[in-house]
Amino acid sequence: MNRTTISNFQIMTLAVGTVASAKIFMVQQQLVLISKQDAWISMLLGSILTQLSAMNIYYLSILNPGKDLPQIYLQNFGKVLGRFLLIGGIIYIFTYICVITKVFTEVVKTFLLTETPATFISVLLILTIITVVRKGVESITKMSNIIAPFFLITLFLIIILSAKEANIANIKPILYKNTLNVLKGAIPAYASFLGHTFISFLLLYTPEPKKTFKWYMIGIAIPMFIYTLLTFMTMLVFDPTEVETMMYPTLSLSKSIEFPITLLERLEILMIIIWIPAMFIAISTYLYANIRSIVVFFNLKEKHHTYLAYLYLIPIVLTFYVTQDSIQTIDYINTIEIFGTIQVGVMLPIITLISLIRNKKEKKKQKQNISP
Amino acid sequence: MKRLILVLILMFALCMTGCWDRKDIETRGFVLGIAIDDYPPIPEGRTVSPEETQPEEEKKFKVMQIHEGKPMYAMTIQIPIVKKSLLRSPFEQGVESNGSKSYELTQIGNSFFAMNREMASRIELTPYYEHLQAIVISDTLARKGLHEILDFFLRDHEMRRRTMLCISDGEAKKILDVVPRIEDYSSLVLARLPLNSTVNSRIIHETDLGRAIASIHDRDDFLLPRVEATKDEIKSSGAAVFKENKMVGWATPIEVEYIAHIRGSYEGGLITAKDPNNEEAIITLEITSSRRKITPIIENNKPKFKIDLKIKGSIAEFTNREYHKLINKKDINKIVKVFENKIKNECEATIKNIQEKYGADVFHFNIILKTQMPEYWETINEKWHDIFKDVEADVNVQVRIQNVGNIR
Repeated sequence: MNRTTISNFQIMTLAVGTVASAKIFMVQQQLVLISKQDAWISMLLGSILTQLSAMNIYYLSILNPGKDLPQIYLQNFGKVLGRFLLIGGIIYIFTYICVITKVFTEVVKTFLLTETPATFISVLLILTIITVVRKGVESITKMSNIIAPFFLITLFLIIILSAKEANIANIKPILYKNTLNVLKGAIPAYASFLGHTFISFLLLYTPEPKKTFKWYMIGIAIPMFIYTLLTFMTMLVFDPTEVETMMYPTLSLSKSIEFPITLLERLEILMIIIWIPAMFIAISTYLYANIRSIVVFFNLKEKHHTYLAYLYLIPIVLTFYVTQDSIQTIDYINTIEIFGTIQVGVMLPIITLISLIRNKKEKKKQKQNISP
Repeated sequence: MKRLILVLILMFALCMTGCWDRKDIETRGFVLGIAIDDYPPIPEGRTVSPEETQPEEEKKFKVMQIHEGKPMYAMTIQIPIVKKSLLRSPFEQGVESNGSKSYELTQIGNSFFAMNREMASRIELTPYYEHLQAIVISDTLARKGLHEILDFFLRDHEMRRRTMLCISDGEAKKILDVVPRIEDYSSLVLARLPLNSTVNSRIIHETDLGRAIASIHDRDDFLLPRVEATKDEIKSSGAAVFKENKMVGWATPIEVEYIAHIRGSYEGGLITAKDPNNEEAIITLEITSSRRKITPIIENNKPKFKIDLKIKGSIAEFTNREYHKLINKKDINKIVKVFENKIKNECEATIKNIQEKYGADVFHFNIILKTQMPEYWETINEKWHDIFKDVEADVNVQVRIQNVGNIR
């Protein structure tokens, strides 16, 4: 993988693609099961948690300049313990790539390509992604620059157009005997934004990491705003009990939009067409992060990266045989995300703390060495 | 090596052409409407004329072999015969050329998905539901419950939530069999009739599949439009009253008007009243806006509702009025009072009538309580239908006449 530079704007678009696309179709249902009509407040709280988490990850990368997350693990915990702890992250990202590809294929197969074999859809997606990832970080970011604006426009279109069907009674009463559930709901909401950790893999490629902060925060704030708005609109259009029964509430929302004239008759298809390249960004970033972690773990050379990327085809195809049905796939994602939440929400703050102490100690040492 | 790569790329490119999901448009059977009847489809007591296909002969194709249970529903789909609709200018629509331009195919079974697939064994086109316009359900079936039959229409990815849903007074298939005079297909007439709710408040407009299912999920009572048909005409007037999932009766067209006022879903319409100065004269008020505010009040642990209606309109007609007598401000004030009293009395009578006849909260008072008084709602939630029957409503109407038309 080539070592190159990424502009601040590219960091922003990459944040949009990585954070927004993966669970955009189904996150509302998961939240409604916990927080009922207040699901949108849970999403708002989840967004705030993500902002805090993003600040932590950014700070961690600043504390360890020139290093990405796997290297930070090794630097702070040593070669043995660092590698041992890194396994958790590798497994999380690896399983997440496999399962999210399955979800992607299922959605495309249900709504767009009903006759095309699922394996063909996923293999084609992964092959394209591998081609991009092999070319390095720059190609991923360039791709995100093109795709992210279209994805955002489509989502905004759905939100605006569905406003006609909104019924404020659906979200009332607000926070009535439901505060604890709303707080509980903030955790899966946070889990759906775990893509924000990508910065810990890419910050070292930015020319001035300290100036990237603003762009990174804006980049992750955009998908959070959209997710919250989308959840809010889903709750306004559908009754909470109805959202509980939906597999893909965002697609149901786009299907509920209709005009008297036959304009935009199948908005959900437009949504999926735009979503396909957006998923490319998300999976590419995840794949890149996973390959980087494995490379650091096994201390591999540059030339092995390509072969490693192609190896992903096997587990992804196998996932289609391991997961029997769409409900089981979504259950797997939720379970994997719990694991991911622990990795990102608990492990990373601990590493930041260790890095901070280490840095202070080193500075102290340096001062002692300088002073006679 | 380079040549080999080039050959491989070209071969790969060849494999990439075409599409697994390719489906020629002429092989699709675009289903425009669905009628769902109780099985047996011929209502008891109805005799079949010798010109019609006899039930026994019909059964030969219509009744399918089923895996489990016994046939319960007769599903009819309307597919346009494209050949008959083509090559005509828009001014030549209607029935005059070749009669019906659609094919109505009935299948009997107990699973809608299975019936749909069985139909594929009787026509060369594949039924395709993305452009489905309307679903008509017979009243006898609606009385048994809607939830049981609507699952397929929500689960299948081809279906749309905004598909118009209506209840037929009698056999549902009859509605699809109508050959309209202006439009080519009865389903399109059904789908477009609610658009006229802006000028006729007897037509219900919030009546699609999605809204009906939302009400069923939330255990709310609701209305669906009542449709009836002659050979070449469909009429949407009045409504089927649903108590939770099951139809319990009909609301008259005038009741539908007042329910719309109380529910805040009034889009436009009219009201007539007698002239206070002349018993023979009839004044028609065209209502351009109706806004409502409902305030729940709890008295002796019983809910009561204060309904404030603010209605704006203009005088559209004044029949039998005295010649050369101009309308002045005093007359307007008198007319306003007449309309205010009329609307108040009719609204209160409608509430009372629905309470006594059906006990179905089609006014959605329960939603008002649920959203504005959640603590109280929790205590009465389970017994709401019993409480609703005795709920008191105090209607206050404020009418404003904005215009009198071109003449005084």
